Amino acid sequence: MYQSLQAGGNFSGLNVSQMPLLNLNIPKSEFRCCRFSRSAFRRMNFQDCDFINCTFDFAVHEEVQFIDCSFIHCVFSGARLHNFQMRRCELIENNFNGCHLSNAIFDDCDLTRSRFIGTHLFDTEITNCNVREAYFIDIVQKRLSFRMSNPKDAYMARPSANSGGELGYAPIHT
Amino acid sequence: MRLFTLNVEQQETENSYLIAPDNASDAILVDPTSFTVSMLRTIEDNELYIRSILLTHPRELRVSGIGTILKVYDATLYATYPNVHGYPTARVQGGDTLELSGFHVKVLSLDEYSRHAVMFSVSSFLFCGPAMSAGIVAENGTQIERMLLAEALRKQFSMLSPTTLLFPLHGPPSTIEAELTLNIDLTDPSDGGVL
Repeated sequence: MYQSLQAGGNFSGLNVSQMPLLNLNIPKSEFRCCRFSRSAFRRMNFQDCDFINCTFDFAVHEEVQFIDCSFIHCVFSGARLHNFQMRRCELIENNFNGCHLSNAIFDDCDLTRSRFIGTHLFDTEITNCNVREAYFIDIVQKRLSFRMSNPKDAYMARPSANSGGELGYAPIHT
Repeated sequence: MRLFTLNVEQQETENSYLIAPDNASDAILVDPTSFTVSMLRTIEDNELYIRSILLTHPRELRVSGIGTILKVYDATLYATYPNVHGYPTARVQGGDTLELSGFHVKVLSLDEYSRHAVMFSVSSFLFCGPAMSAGIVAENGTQIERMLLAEALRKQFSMLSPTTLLFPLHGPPSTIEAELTLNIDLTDPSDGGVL
């Protein structure tokens, strides 16, 4: 399996849940409905990969880079992402609820409608990213930066009794 | 199984889902709130034919595209109502199992919330409609609706595999395990998390 991943290609329904993946460079590939739940990635590099309806929930990723990748409707809930980088990635409508991110970088990414509800964002840089209609609700943050991004277009608060059920917009220090 | 998520940009973005067997053309469409050119293209490019349309909660869904879909495809509507926008349905209720396009489709009720709201379980996928979205129960509901719905969802989720993937009408997908452990609307019933 390691060899086929490193060769790149189209993977549909691949299930590597609970498996460790170490020291791999994954070239242009498409992953559709693949399961990476509770996987452990360490020192992995993904380039030009597309992930569609894939799950990474409760995974542990350390020193992982995704460059020029796209993630459509993927689930990262509860994942622990340390020294984690996403650069020039399309991340439309992905689920990062309850993730623990530390030393993480999202650079030049489109995070439209992605959710970070209850997410821990420590030493995380969201730089030059589109966060339109993304949810950053109930987050726990320390040194979170939205440099050159548009947090004013994101949702930062839960509905309150006097908001008529609408999600609130709230300023955040950038 | 092939799964396609079809985004429809209306007042807010809504998801419809298309599921089909790997090697057959008969497909199931879940919660089509509209019928757009891009949806038609996805169906036709993959040589699919819509045989069944599942509606999770017709009262809350904008189903303006159903008339068009039924003109193009000879499909059967499945819903809790006897008809939707004048189109007759094959009525379903919680506990039913349907055999559609080679799939066992289980109908899961949300009676504590509404007798007209159901979810559809297909293989390891659960299509939950507007009942919830990732991290939030019934975003537009009242507090009492959300509390009742949270109770109904906890009951149904406890009977499903934790790895089941949840596909809501709004927002990204999730998993049963993620919602039961991370969604405070579902995890804190004792202290009234949704109230």
